[in-house]
Amino acid sequence: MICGFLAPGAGTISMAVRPEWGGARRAIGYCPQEIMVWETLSCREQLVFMGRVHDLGGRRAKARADFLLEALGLAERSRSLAKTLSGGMRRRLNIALALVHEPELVVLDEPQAGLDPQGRVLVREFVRSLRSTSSVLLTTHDMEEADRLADRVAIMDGGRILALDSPEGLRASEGAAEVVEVRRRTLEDVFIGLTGRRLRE
Amino acid sequence: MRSLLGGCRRFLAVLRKFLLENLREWGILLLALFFAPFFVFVFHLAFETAPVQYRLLLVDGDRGATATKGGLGDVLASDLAAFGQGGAGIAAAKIAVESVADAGAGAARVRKGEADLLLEIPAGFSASLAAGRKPVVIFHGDMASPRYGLLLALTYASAEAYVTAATGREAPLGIAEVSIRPESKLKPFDAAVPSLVILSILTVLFTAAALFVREAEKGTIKRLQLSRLTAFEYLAAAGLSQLLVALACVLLTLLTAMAFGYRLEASLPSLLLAAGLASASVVAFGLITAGLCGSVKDVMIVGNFPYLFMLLFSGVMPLPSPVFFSLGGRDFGLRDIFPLSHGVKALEGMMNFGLGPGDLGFELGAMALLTALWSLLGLFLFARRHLGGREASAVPG
Repeated sequence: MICGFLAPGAGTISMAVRPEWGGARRAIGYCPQEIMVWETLSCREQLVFMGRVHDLGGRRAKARADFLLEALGLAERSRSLAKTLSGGMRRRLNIALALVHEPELVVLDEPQAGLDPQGRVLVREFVRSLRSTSSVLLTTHDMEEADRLADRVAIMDGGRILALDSPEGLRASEGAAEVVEVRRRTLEDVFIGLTGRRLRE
Repeated sequence: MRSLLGGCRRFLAVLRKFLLENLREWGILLLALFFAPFFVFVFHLAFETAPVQYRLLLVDGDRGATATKGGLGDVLASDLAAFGQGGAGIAAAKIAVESVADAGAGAARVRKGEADLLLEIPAGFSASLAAGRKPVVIFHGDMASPRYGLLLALTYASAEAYVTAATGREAPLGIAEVSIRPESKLKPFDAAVPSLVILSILTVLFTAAALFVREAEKGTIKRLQLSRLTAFEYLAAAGLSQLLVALACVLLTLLTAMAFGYRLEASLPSLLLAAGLASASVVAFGLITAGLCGSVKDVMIVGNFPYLFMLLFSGVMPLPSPVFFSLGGRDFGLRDIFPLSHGVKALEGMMNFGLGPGDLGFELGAMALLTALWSLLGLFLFARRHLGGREASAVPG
């Protein structure tokens, strides 16, 4: 709905964007949950192509493509066709395609789904880095992920927002049950501790 | 000016993308490119190894009546058997004459498709002729068959020549034939080449429709919807990429035909103009097909309908077309609403008769106008199905 693919049944969506975008939709970078890539284009070709259709100049589009390939761990496979990539790589390419034009609002729908632990860490850190330049709207079923990444969290159920606050605010809210937690290392911590943070694919 | 330049850049970016995708899906591209040239090869092989042959069965009830001079049956057998020796066009066809004893058995063979015509010369034919009475011969055949009609005309002409010679009378009518085809275009293989060129253009209907639909099926069109790319820029680039494929198909088909001895009478630029417009019309129907389909699989099923419709009603097949109205001495019918019909006329005019764009102005203009109108319908259907309308209306209130 925010991207304009679905018409709202009621209400309006307001978004402040700089006038040079020429419309709110163009200021959005959308990363769907499904993988939407061009199978017979290489990673770099499709990133440059996205830059060109967003009116980036040739050099700028190539520079952005190279930056995103590096940032998302795809630089070594920049010339590979998307159909030859592994699932994790395709998902990272899916994210990169949303960011070529440096959008004001980045909409990420379950960006970490299907990623291995290294990939999850890489994407998490990359998404965190986006906060300095863009507003990021991330949807997830993973509360840990929301807690780690979000400044504000909206908890939705049945299409309605039940709570909207910072993670700390939500934890301290009256409705929240009081929990005393002794944090143990998670399996993710153990896995990364044993295998390292280096990307495998 | 700046936005126009931006539009051109985006258009070129999308065109490059489509060309790269076409090249990398080389299996489909090769199939599209070599479909018609393969049939050129098959046609050439068929016409060269087995020339067109008509089969005549002869029941000569009058045999022996004019033993010294030779009866009609004998003369027809030798005249028609000599037909096709070194001739061109229809005169290159061979006629096999076979005598049969019984008209009933002969007619049964015609019904089974073993012969095109049975000629029965009744007993007393020569006697009637000698007595100055009007002799009668009987033709048996399938009157709906063009092969029957053609063999009837040839046999009748030969029989009439025999009768005028036998009676010493002058033929009541002298005829002279003037071919409207250049001499070099009289072989059956040459006559088939324009239809094969049109077949090569029609092949693009499926590749174009699949190209338009694939982007929507994969979801990548959503990414493009959020960019500065307009629907027109996107569809124009996709259409142009398919137009280039169609022109490559035409060139390959022509080159294959020329390698087998076909001589191109039309100038290449004129031919490419007509072929380009015809290809654009097929791409427009590809867009309409894409507007009615949700997936590439659907295209392969639904696409057969416009494909066969164009094949049947564009003039490639000899189907009659009902006339709707007449304007300026020209009849307008069902066939005239299809741009490819005008493309068929233009290409046949150029390739068979050496006509130029000046001679075919109406056909080329009609093709351009109709292609634009059908493209608009395609744009409307595609936009409604794939560019947001459906999803928006699916939102519950």
